[in-house]
Amino acid sequence: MDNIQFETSLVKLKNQLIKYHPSDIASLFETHESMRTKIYEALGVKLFKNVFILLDDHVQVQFFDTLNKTQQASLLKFLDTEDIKDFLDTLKMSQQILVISLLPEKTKNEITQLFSYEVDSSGALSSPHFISLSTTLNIKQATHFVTTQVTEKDEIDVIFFHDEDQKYVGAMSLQSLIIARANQNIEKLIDQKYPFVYATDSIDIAIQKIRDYDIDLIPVLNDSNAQIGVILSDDALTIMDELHIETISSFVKAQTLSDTDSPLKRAMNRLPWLLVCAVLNILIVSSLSGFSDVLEAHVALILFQPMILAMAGNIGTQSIAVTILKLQNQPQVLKKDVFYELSIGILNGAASGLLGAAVSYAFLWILPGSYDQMNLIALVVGLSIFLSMILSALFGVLTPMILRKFKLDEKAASGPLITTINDFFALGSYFIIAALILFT
Amino acid sequence: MDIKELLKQNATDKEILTVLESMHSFDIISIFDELSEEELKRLKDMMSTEKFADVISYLEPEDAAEMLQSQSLDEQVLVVQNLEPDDAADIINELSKEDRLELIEILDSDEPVMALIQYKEETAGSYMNNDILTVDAQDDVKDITKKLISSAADLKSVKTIFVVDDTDTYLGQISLKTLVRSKVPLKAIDILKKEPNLNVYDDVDNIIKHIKHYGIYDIAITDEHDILVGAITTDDLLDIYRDEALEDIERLSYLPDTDVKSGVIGAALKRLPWLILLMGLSIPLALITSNYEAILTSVVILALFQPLLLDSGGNVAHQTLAVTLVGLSYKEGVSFKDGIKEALSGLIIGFVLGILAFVAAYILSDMLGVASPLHVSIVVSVTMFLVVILAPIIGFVTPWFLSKINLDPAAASGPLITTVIDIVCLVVYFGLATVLLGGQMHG
Repeated sequence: MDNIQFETSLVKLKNQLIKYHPSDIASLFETHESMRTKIYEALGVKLFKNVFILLDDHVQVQFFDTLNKTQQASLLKFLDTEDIKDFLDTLKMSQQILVISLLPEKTKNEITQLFSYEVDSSGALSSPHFISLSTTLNIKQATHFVTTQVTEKDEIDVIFFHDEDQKYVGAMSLQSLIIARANQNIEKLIDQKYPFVYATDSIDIAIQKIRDYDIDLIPVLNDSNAQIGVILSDDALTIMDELHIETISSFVKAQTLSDTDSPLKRAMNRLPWLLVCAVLNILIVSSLSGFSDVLEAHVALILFQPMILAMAGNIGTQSIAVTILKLQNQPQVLKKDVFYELSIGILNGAASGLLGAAVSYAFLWILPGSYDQMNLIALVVGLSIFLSMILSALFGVLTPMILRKFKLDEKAASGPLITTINDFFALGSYFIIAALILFT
Repeated sequence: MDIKELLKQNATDKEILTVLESMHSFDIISIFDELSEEELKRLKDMMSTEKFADVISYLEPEDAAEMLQSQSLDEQVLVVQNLEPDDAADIINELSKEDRLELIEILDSDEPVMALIQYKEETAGSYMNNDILTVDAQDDVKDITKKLISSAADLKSVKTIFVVDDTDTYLGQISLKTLVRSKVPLKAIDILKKEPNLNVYDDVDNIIKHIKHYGIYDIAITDEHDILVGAITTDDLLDIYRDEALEDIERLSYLPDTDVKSGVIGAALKRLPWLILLMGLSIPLALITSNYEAILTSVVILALFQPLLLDSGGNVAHQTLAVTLVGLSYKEGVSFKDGIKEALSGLIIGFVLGILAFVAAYILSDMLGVASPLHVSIVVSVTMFLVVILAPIIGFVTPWFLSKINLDPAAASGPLITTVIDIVCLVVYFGLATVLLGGQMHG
């Protein structure tokens, strides 16, 4: 890839480029800013459109602007409708109108249709390039249609069928159509249990079905059961990837992860959460500062403060992650899920509490300095670990559940709020238990 | 009528079978959990071998192996022949050693699955299918179509046709879509498209990088001499991606494999090792703190700011860690430039948080009547500043280094980073405190 010779004729450049996959050419296009026009001219619009759809959003917009009206229109003509929609989504309103005005009438209608669905619904992300045949055709007619009438844009790995009222009936793989004998009854070959989704269903449902039923395309129906599009497994991968990155970012309270952002933008992006964390943390400390006498009398308590905070935090992380993963597959957390996490919290809290008490006792015993009431301090540490871990495990399952109930993004649970709640209860139980045991 | 009710009402096998046939296998396995053992056995016994094979191919391999094991050996062979070879290989590899040997013994050695069970888990070889349709470069469209029709009944998927030369070297592939629209006298060599392929020993990380970069299609798998040995199909790719994504999150949140269902005690035991390990990692912190007890005794308020400092350092480092891990999962990887950007953003964040810490520490220590609030707030804010600057560097270098020495960066980075940051933080914090506030220790 690095040995591409740019200083040559367009024909020679094209011959070098076509040896590579569009994804590789796209990377090359992004990194060689001065050569963009030359790459575009060498490939010609028909090959270039495969590269264009793989470019980063801002490169797409940037390059599109450098083209003249005719070039823009011809590029748009070659793009699939759902790719045009993706591209439009990255543009500002005023530019969108400009681009739409360049589209052929048919595409314009398809685009308007796609925009009428809610964001992240199956309808909004569907592609109108599918084949739906009438069940009244025979095998020969169907095969003839598929071999002669379809365009390059159409997905034909699976062929769909509708009845006289245009209602969706089922699907057949291209494979079964090809191997079918001419005299077979077409209706017998149609798979009527082939999964489908409705346009208003969330895209997550479509992806889950594609994955669970091992299919390449899933049909999307409107509310009168007519098919309006398909979703491809390729799109499923893209969306799964987005969801995955979103989940990971929410775990660490970073907003969006983009490798092109400048340091200042990165800092600004992350500061709000960090500030919230810090301020909440300071508030906790202030509210607990009344316990400083306890700490003053037993400095040994400070030694185990990080341990208690960490243990509560760790079990909280586990139970939040389990709950968020669970909510990706089911609509709400059930009572039994709460008890499940709570029981695990009690068991592991008890195990860690015992171990924590033993460790802290051994630790104080080994240290050269002499400590008063070593066994009592160990008791305080053990009990605090036990109690705070149970509380954290419980909050870890309850917070996402409550957020989901109020239709908020449950992934926000892994944000600073829960960390702070956990810290508060962990330190609170530590200091209160210490005051009770050591001051009586 | 659903299966569960039919079973309860003692419906005849025929009635139940009709319902079973009309259900997708994935939907059938989702009711397994709710059935009693006898009911499950009854279902198993009445299903045809083909249906049974299709149903268990949707189960997790461990569960499928358990189902398979309950059949007689002859039946097992029939089931294996009806499974896709890659699924069969996964299931056979989950059988207990004796059962596995017994089954392999009586399986035909040219059964496609036999070539697959040799590959190590999580390599391209273990995910691939080897019953694929291959044609010769010189075959014309008519030959290919003929071959396709004659073998389609035996092969699960022929939506991609692979083209090889006379030494079985991979040349390219033809989608069914292209084939139906091509006419004689075109030959395979004229209509094939050479797509990037993978090596049979490539591990799962490479597969993920490959599909993130090139998108999802039926990927040809070759051996080290470019001989075509199989293909990974799109449906399997989605599953591979999902499993890896899930594993990433599990590792970041100290979880065991959550796909396997287990009871409360089992789950608790599986999550415990991480917790114990992490507890162990907090012991050095206690040790460091104990070295500075003198200063802590005289300025107890320092202890109250400890969580703030530790949390902030950890938070910032984990943000960088996540950016870096996501970056590492792409083909381009991460560059040194990204590290610099992260470090610079740490500088800005450190400055802001440092100021905040200064103000808060001053107000709080003044309220509590500490002797020198200015010194305390300098100690707290300077530590905050230094830790937040250092955090992104550690958060970047750790996963980068781990991936360089071929360790999984997602698994080890979290705890390693937290421990390093915490230690640095405490040493700086108490060290500074001793220098600046040490004078009042005995006063």
